[in-house]
Amino acid sequence: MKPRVGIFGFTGCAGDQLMILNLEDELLDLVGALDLKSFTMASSAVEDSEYDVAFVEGSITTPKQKQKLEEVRKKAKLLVAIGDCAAWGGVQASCNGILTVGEKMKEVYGDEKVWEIYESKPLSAYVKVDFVLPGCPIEKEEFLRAAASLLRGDLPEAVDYPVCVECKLRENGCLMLEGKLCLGPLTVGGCKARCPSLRVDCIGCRGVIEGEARVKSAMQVFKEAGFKPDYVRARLRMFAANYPEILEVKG
Amino acid sequence: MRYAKLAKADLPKLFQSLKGYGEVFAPVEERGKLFFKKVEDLKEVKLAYTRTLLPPKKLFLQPEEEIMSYEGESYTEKLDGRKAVLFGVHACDINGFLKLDRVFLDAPRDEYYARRRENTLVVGITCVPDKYCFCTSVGSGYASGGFDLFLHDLGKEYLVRVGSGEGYRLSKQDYFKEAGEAEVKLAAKLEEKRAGKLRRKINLMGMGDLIETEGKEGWEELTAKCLACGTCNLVCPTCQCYDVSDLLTLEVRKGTRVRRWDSCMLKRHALVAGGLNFRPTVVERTVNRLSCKVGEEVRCVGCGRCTVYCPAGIDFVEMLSAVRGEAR
Amino acid sequence: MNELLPRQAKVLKVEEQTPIEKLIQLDVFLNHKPGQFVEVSVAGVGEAPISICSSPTRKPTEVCVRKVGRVTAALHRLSPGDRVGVRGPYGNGFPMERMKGHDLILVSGGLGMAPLRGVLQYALDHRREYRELLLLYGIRDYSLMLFKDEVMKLMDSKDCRVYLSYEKEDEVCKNLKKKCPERVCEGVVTKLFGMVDLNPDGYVVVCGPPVMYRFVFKELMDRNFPPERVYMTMERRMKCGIGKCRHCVVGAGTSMRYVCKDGPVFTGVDALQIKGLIG
Repeated sequence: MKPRVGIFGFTGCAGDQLMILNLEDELLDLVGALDLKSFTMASSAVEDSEYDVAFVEGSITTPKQKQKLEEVRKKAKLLVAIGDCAAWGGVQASCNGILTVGEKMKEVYGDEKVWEIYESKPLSAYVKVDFVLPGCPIEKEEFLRAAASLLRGDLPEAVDYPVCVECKLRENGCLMLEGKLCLGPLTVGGCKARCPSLRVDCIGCRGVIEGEARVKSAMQVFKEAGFKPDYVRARLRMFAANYPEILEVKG
Repeated sequence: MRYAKLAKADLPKLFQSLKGYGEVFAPVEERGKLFFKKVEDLKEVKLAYTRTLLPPKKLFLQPEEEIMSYEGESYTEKLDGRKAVLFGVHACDINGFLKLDRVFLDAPRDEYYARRRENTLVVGITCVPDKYCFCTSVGSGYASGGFDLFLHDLGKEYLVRVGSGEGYRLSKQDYFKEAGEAEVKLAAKLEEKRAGKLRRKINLMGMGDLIETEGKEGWEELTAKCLACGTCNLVCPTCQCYDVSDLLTLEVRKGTRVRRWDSCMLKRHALVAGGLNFRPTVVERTVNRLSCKVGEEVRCVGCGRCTVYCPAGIDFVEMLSAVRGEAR
Repeated sequence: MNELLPRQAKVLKVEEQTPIEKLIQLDVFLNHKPGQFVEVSVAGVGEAPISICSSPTRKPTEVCVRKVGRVTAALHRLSPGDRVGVRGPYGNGFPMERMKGHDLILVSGGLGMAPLRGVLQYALDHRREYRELLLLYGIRDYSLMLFKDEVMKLMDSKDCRVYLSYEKEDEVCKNLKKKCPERVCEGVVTKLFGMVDLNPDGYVVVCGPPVMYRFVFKELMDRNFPPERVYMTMERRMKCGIGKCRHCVVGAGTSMRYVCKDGPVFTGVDALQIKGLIG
């Protein structure tokens, strides 16, 4: 029996689901290898089913989403967060801890209560997440490899080293040494140093290495390099504001 | 050792001979970055240089390589038998090879490293040190072996030291001339002059014990800025650590086994299945790294790369003098 | 020969030992020493060091696998007839020859029983060449005891004196304690030292979870047991098994060792010299 798979999306740009649709060369192989029960972005047909693997994109921002996520979790043997929104809460979390949801609503809608929303949180704030495929968007190759493992019933090997490793393996010069605010040392690798290889400083779209990222040390190094704390904080918050150490960083 | 002389004007001839042996990899400068790269013409080569970003060990122990493929549970090795030439290697990096040889050529030898090492000619050349070099303090300022040819710059010509049978065959080409005592004396004098320019010194007396007994607070202070990014290891000519991963394809039964340089400053280095990490913090990892480089034996070759390329500006030599109790 | 290339081994039998541990029989000839380990590959998942739990005097080769990570989870899915990749045996193993003619005291906690079972089988198969044979075995509860049948049989045998400690009392443990109060007690394994006479001319062989070594070693040192007669086998990340990849390196300063090549068996003297070896 082919593994039953569901692909779901919550608050986000749907870029990770689009990435899966964009697989082109491999899409047919992938679809052939599994029993796709639900992929709302690709087809409106949704089967009520149990899932061997559920891929979930997006952050959770409403009570309805939370309920739906909990349903998916109950029906899924393995739940995989795909993309930065699902992994960390995404760009929409970047003001968490600075502005409350109430303040944001008031700013946009005035005093009228439109609907109930939550502060943007990753899936793991509500349900158990078995594996995270980070990135904004996810990496095609990484997704395919992980999918192959998951379909076989194995958890994939998680990347837990920084972007710097992949930068050095490619013999890239260090952008921090060139005076750029590169978040490579804090950021989960696996992107093959996509941006720094083009001499663009890492913006941290794959999130921080949990329990490892040396945020305080980086703040010190960036400060000594002459970057303003406000700017550093904004950069750190863009993709990983919900990481406790980053949430605490003062502007 | 056999000695020969090569006029600088005849260097292109040697280069041609080397090309006849195999692909030539040499230091090249692009956009201010120096690295070993495959070259076709001597004109591409930067003959006088300080250091490349990655050490030339990358040719023997590749940064990332497929070591085997599998189908079902049957594995097929992927060994490389190509002949190659490493042209323009400095004494520190050649001494780095010797240290890695002891790891990878000792039984049971690593076939991947061993075959490339055996199939690669190493041609050394006089270096241009900068303020970060300290090879003379760790006994790596001069290469006594580990190369096929070593070119000592004597001004208009090179003294060529011949270090292997293949080197001997090359030195029999008609563009080489005989050399002896006079040229060796001159080369030694010039090497000494060059070594004299090295201001950086490192005192390793008792260093292993100093590292072992340095307190936690001291280490925390010394590593406060460390980003645990692994750069120091990844640019080191004597770091040997590697990790191995299986890469699965959608075809499930087929895939590859890949190995990649690893760093002892990273989380997974001493992490065992089940979640216990034997070196959980940057402090333990730094103690391990320094012990490995200069505690147990002197594996550091003084090339300065870990200091030059550290994004946090942590200075290897300064860190060790601090451990000795000299001004922090 | 390419030492990194695994050879294939057929799975002969898979047996559940505890809810988290399985015994896997492999059709592979290793010519190993008790205490050595193999690198086992599951293609597409990876490779992991696993200690051999059978003695070279017995066939087939057996490994005991606790499900703790990706590779071990994949090993738990195996059925007879499946194939795995195997490299090794690696490591120094226990000095079975040197210990002949002496008492042999095996101290084991939890999964530590796996490598010690090879020692035990070896000593039983050369029973007359060793003097007293003691097994001090600490378990959480009976459900987590490894090699239950063998241990229970040994409890009634004259070949080996078995001492058992348990942390959580259940029916089986309770009955064992009632039957044999001088050899069974509640508590951690070090408590059993109060029940035995240690002959300083004997050898103590230890294997257990990382936290156990420090306490067992202290107990032995407090009893003035000579450290050079204590053998402890260590767990670290032995990725290559042949002293190249350096993940398993232990120690600091001037004393550093590879667990895969210089170990995994170390002496009490090593424990005193190598920083962090036993925590």
